[in-house]
Amino acid sequence: MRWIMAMLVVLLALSEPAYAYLDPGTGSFILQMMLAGALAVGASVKLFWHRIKSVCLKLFSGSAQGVHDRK
Amino acid sequence: MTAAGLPARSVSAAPEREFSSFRDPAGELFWQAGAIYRGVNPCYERQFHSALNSGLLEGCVADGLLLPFEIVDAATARYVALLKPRQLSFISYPYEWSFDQLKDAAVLTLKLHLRALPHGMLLKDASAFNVQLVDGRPCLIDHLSFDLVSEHSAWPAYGQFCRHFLAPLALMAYVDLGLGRLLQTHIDGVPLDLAVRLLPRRAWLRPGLFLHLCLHARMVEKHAGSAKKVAARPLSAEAMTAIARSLLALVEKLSPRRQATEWGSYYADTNYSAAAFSAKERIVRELVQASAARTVWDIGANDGHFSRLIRDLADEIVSIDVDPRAVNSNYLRCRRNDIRNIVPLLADINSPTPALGFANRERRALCDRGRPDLILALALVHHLAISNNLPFRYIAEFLAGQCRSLVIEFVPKSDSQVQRLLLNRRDIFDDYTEEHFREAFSAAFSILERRAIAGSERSLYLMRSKSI
Repeated sequence: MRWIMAMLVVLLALSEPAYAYLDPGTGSFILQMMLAGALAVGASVKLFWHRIKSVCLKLFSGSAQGVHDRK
Repeated sequence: MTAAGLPARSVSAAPEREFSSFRDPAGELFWQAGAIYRGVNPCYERQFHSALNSGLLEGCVADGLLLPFEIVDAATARYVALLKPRQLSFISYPYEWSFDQLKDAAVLTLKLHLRALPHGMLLKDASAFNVQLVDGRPCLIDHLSFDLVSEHSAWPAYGQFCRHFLAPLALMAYVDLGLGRLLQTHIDGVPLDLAVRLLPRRAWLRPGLFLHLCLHARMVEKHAGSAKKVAARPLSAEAMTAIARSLLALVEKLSPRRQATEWGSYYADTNYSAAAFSAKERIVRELVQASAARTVWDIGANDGHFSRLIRDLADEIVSIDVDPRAVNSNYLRCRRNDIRNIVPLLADINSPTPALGFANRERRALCDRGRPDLILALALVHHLAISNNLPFRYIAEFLAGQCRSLVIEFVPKSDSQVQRLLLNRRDIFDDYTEEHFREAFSAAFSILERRAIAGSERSLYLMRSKSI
């Protein structure tokens, strides 16, 4: 969640959204657009991170097993 | 948009439109022969049939998320369908709910939205007024709240959800449990900029609150006067799901800091001996039984101990107290023990919830939302008479106009609880005697029974109103 917030701050700082309409919900609408983008990217990063983590864990547990075997 | 089961006003055969049912063009509520109905307007036909035929409405009813209803007419000259929802005898409003009541209503709203999305539909409004406590659980009462996803570019109720639920919940969790009452002064939800100004900085350490409240408020403010018109890119159902899930995770994690309130530990701080307290419990049950009441308002209920004590003797008990922590404790106990016939309610008897909204007719005053068979007023009269200087006559007349029977406890001036009230103020209450109490109440009630509580100086009365 924290990195989503960081991404949104960056998004807000860099972009001037070019979305539509003229009712009091415009701000809510645009925020949803940004949140959706951030959450989608976040989900991909999370998946990627889990993969890295599982590969690392496999490597680590493999080497730990090796140490154990040596004892 | 409105409560589907307000106390019946019209018992005439001619339909009478429910005043508060004016916001949503999809349909309207009306009273006929003492029952409330919902007519579905032609402009909502496609959406209604989609929700019906996809099994969305049926599934939500089956899981207790939506108020049960029957289709009494598939089509009339005016409506494409005529619904008769389950009739509710008492309506409560979000500004009368404690923290966990509002939180459960928020969770329900998000779950309904998430449930609708796979059906190609969404919840088009997220008004807290569309939720009622039914059988002890929050339940959506507006059967026309679903709309087709294809008609929207984003979740149209996102701003409303944040104003009606997230902002008051955050304020209650981070600032004060009593701030749910802001919904009383802001009938379409707490303005986000106000919530942002009131919340402490540490609230922004929670990323969800920062995004959905702080950033949201800034975006609303930034685009409030916008005159730009650009094509919108619709959000996918998956994106809407992700946003709703992030809100759900945030709401579920919100919990108030422990806050000491005036009545939060009342029963741990009482002057009753164990024997006197059990004598009081026994007498209260006997008097309630003698009244033969089916509907009860327990006023000054604290954490609802006596409401729960008599729950098997009545069909519905509205358990009213002014303390948000005591009401929350009452709700959590009822929820934990699956008690379905108690409605814990936050209200001040010294200033009952007023009528609100347009022409003061959208949300009814507490006193206009029913006349219970019985009012239970235990350990209350000294707070009204001494803390609020109310003459006994005023109290008696008010109660006699509100209920058929009354079980009331008289607490004499010598009682330590009364002495505590008088500790730092001049005793100007010469009339505060049991004799004057009886005299004043005899004018408005017939006194049927007086029972002394053994082991204490207090007494319990059963009375019958002369005006109802």
